[in-house]
Amino acid sequence: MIDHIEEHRNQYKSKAFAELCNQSKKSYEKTSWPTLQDEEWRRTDLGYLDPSSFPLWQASQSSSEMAGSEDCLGEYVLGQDGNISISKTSDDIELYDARMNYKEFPLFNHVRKGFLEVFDDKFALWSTIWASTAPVVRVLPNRECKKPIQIRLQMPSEKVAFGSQTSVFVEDGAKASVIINFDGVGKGELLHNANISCYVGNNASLDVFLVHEDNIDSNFIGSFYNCMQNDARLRFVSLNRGAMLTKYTVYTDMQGQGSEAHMDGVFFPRSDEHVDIRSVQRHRVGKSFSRALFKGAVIDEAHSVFQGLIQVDPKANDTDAYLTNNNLVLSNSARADSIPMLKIETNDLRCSHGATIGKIDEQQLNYLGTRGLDSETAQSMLIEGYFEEVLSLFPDAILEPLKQNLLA
Amino acid sequence: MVIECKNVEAWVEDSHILKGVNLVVRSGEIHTLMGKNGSGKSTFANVLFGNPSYTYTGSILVDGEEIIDLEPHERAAKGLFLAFQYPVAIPGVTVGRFLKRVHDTLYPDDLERKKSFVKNLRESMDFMEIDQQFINRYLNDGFSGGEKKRMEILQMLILRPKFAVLDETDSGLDIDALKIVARGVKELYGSDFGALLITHYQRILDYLNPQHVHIMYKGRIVRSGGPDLVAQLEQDGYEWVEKEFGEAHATS
Repeated sequence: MIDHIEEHRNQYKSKAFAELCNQSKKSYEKTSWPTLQDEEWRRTDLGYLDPSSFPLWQASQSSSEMAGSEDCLGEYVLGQDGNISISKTSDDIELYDARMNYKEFPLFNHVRKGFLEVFDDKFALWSTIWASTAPVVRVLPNRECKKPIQIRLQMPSEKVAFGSQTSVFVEDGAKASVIINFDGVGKGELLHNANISCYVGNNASLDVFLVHEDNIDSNFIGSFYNCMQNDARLRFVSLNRGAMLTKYTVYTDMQGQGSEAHMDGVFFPRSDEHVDIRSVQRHRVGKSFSRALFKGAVIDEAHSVFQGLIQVDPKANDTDAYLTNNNLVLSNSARADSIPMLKIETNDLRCSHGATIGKIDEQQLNYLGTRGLDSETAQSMLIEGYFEEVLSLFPDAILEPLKQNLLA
Repeated sequence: MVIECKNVEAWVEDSHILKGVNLVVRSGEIHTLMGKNGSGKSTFANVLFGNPSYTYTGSILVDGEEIIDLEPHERAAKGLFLAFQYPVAIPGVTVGRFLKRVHDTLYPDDLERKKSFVKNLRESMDFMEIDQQFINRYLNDGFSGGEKKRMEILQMLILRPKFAVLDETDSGLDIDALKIVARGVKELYGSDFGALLITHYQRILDYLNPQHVHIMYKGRIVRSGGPDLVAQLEQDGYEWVEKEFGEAHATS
């Protein structure tokens, strides 16, 4: 497969980007695909998945300008046909595809270095050496984006390997929100290897809303890396729905003092879908604050795994971190595993976690029944209520269809 | 509406709690069910509303139709409403969304009512002296005891049942809250609405003047009468009930 990767890279218009991708080639070659023997992959059997059986796919190397939408500041849209359209209505941001327009950019290197320090599995490495599409958002220093920036990738409808490298840079003092939409609904049998890297500069603020909606023939693997500087603020909210396999890690690397990170997620696998989510709150220096809240429900024969880690380095005094994972098990054959972990190397901190695995409360069902709701309606109201804490974080403009798809 | 309970018995696990309750209530009437703790009053309310945590036998007829095997939501559709003693919280579901949903479920074809829902809700909240901001709060989540009780009555006003059972709605309320709750019941009271008040205290009865009073003892209604029965209980307590029915019960 690596030969084909080279072929693809040779086609990149930006030689600088091709060179950057080439840097982790050796590590990729040396590494084997993860197996059940690897701790982080222990509960997700990839035995059925042969990455080399998926032909690599690449989006067009030219983009068309489209009229800017009033609802967002900029929009990067990859259509199912492989065409890319980019629009922006403000000079506060840059928006481009790295395969075409990447030029030397120190922050890009900084983030990539951080990414490679914490991700060493073959999927993550694969996601750094090759891309079907590589949207880059850059918010210039001290600019405040009042409207969101949207990245919308529609998956191809054939059996392919699809690699997305999405990079978001919110530079010092800037403020932005980015909606990333991976739309694979009703499309082909896919292996989507997604890399999202976010940089939040000093005193900057970023909200990321990741919506991943897929079809039952799809495999989704994600390596998401957030790199935060002094007094930076980040919220990274994800919603996953529909793929046969969803396995991702969201790693928040708090490199700066006084930074504040929130990671939230909802997932609701059904039939025999499998979801495996790992979150890492990494506190490297002092006075940083993090909260992770992941809520899942499983039904039918579905299986979910949540692995959460709070890691506090020796210098990270005055850390405040909390990790929550709630699971609702809605059928006897469904299963939810929750594995929260702490790795702490300082004494000066407030740090804890809470995990629950439970069923729908009979008293709540009975209460809603006496109000006229049949048990099916009552149950879906309770599930919706259960997810509300995270769903309410999504912007109103995209919330209703999300809710409907999640709960359908 | 006429509700006729005939020989209703109920169990929780192995514990035999109701041992044959007979009672007839109608719209247009206000009844009170009194009795000591553990006499089976709340169990009776739960059985009337089909709570699946209980096993029960007997007959409950609503306008001649047997409902003992119906699900709770089917009983609600007949026009029955239970104000819970301990209303559960429904986190993540706002009062407004919840009420709209249940209202539209109970009145699917009444376009006029659906249209005026928000106006009705706001007016009813004012009437019950509930802050309008509660519309956006999650149902009963973090509410005080008194707020929960008022919320039950607000739901009753919005859903307009034909018959309501208020399970110790007056417990734990200060006198002002009690007056407001009573006001809610009075608002609905008429020829097409009736209520059964389950209570320990006379004070709510001062505001609602029930015509019928029943005393429950060890899983049976042992005495029914008029308001004077309440006065007797207030004056003499339950000792005479125990004396009169305790032994009879022991030998039965």
